[in-house]
Amino acid sequence: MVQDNFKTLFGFIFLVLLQNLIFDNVNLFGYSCPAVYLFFVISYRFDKSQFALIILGFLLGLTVDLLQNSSGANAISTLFISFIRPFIIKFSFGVNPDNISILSMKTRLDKQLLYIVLLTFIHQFVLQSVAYFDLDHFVLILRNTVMNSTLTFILLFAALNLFKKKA
Amino acid sequence: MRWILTRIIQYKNFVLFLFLLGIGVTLSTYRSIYHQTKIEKLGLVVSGSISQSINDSKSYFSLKEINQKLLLENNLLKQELIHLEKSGSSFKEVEIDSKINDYYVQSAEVIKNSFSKARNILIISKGSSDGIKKDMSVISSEGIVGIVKQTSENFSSVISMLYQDLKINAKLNNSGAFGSLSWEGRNPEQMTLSDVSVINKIALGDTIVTGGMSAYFPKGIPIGTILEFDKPNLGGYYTIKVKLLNNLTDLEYVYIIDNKKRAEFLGLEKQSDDGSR
Repeated sequence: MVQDNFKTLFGFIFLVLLQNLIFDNVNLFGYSCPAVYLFFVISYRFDKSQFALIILGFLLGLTVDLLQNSSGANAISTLFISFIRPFIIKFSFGVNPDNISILSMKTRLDKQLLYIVLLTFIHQFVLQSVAYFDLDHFVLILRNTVMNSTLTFILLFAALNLFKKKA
Repeated sequence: MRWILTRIIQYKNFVLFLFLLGIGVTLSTYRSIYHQTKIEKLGLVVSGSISQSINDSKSYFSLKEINQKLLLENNLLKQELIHLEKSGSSFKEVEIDSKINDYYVQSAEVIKNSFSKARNILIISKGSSDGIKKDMSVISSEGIVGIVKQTSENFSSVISMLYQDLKINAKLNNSGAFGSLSWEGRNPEQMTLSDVSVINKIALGDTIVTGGMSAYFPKGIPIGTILEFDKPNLGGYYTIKVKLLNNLTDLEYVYIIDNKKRAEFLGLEKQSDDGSR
């Protein structure tokens, strides 16, 4: 139990640093910047407290916000996906996911893909909408959302395969 | 009572979500300026020191480019000097006395730069201990960069020109017509100049310079050239697309300008505002 919490804390700090030191400097095509810290929310165990995840998600977004000097868009969007994660899990894996974490899940690749795509896309959409907060920029919001979530998805999927528990 | 408590516990996730959402929204809508500045300052110190260490190692690789830029700027300055010497001997009589000079310039290194977001912020390597204050203007060797937003002891954050809510007073170099320059958030090389009346004649390629009608930037610093413009049929105002002269995506060094008469200017502006009420 204690070990698990340490793992979570370590993952939190590691992902914040990774995001700030490396991926905030990626400016593919001049504007797209992947949000790899989402890995925290995605890999959070299904059976653990959602209450804690909401707080952690908010703190994660807030930390990234402070380090990016942005005004709070990351905090709001990460909070949002932390909150709706159970619904997405239900939607993509059914009521009873056959595993407690996506890291140890081996079968049903299509459902895993759906889960990651939904989380990244919703996260980016909320993020960009809050950042621009203007209907006049709807095309821009959509463009950034599609670009960023594609990039984030590729990175997260690669990372997921890297960290998958081997049987 | 018990019923309410049970409901709260039942929906605790949702309640927590709403609570934190409230905090998040408050943070981003700038309700509490005090907390906002306090928290931002903390963020500035941390991200400043992290970015400093990265930048130290990164800047080594671009030394050659920086040298080239410096050489170019030196050349320009030298040309101007020769020009001045040729045009009249009065040059030597002008003493550059910092007490008389209205603008005090110092240089700083850019340690963090962003240009892909809706509101972009730079962090520079000088702070309040070097005399940097809020609202000072920041330029590069090629054009304007932004305005100092916040300072900590060793770092300052700068609102980039690529910041959606920022409007900069600018004018056309040829006709002297004023307008306000803003960024639409698409391209880090393009800005939009609005509020230029159609009674002024403009042409593609005209230079835009700072207008000097605010306490921020000195007059006449080049900003960009006209890329394209729309003339409305019914009169009114042009919509002008401006191509920036400086590349805000690869800034290495910037100059910070302190307008010494700024306090006086603001005081007068405030006085006349109060008087007109």
